[in-house]
Amino acid sequence: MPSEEELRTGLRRLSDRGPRPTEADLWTARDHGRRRLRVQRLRRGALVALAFVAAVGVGFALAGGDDGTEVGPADSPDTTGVTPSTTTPSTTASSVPIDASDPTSPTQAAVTADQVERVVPTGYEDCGSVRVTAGWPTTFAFFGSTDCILAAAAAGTPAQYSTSARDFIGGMTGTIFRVESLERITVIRYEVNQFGSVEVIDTETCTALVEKFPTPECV
Amino acid sequence: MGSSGHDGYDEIFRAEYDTIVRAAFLVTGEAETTTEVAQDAFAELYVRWHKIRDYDRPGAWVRRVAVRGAIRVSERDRRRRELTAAPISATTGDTPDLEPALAALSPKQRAAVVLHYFEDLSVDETAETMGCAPSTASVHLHRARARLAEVLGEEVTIDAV
Repeated sequence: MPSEEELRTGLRRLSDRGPRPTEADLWTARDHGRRRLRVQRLRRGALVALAFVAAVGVGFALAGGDDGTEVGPADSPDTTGVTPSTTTPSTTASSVPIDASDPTSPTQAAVTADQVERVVPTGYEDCGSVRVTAGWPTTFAFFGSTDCILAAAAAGTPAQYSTSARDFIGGMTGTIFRVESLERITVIRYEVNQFGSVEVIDTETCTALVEKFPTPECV
Repeated sequence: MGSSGHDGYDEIFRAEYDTIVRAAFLVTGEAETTTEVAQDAFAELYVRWHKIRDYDRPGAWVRRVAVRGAIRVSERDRRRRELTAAPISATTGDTPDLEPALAALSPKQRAAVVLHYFEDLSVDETAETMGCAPSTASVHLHRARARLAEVLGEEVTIDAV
């Protein structure tokens, strides 16, 4: 007659027939988790883009249609940060206009914290920083070149490149790509809330960068 | 690999993964499905780690996700094939082979048995993990015991829960 103890023993014995965990399972779980995080961010970005399009549409409608103003390239100095430079720090985002009446505009606190996060360490080449939604809502900036950081990663020379984008509630998200040495690249993903509080979401060390927009892929 | 945003994740994984895989395997009865369920739960833990790391028992959260996932896929698979309760095919020593007996239980009954007798959770904890009321968990356990006794062809002597 099976007792509780025999039942427990039987279950333990049966569980031994199952799959045996390996260290590779940890890597797989982390990889799946990262992919889901990326999808979440892409969805968030898509929502922002959708809201942007809607806002522009509503703006035109309220203004009585096209007033002849062309939607041109972003004039924010931050978008010029994609130009590789060894002398100019990537903190030129300070001139990104803050529209207090626009709930989708990052607060000054968020922008300030974002600048601090993206400071290029001494001895690292500044491969630029791109604020994806600079110029919102009148212009739209697309990503610049990532050639500089990809070349640095291939050569193993210290360099930094970063991207950031505002979210829909006055904060920002950003990614910093920092080439430390050959086959050693640190990728830092962070968020800044509307009050300027910075939280590092994920720090990843990878061996190479692969060209992929909007940001290089860490491999 | 450094991970300041996911500090502690690896430790939780190493501490909990094996037990969770075993529990999920007992619920699903299939190795491949078990791995998928466990991986899915830990991937979800990774996504929400910045919040869950502050929980008193992050392991309990991922166990809950894994067990509920195991129940879900078992119910899905159950609809695809009719489970038949075979008589005990083998015994090892004094302990009966529980595999065919467990297969005769519903996924929720299996989960209740596994959480209560394998994971040594209380009825309240079993209910919390399964996402049901304690009274419901008790019913699952009671019916599972009755069914086990029937399939094993014996009475199962178990204390009241």
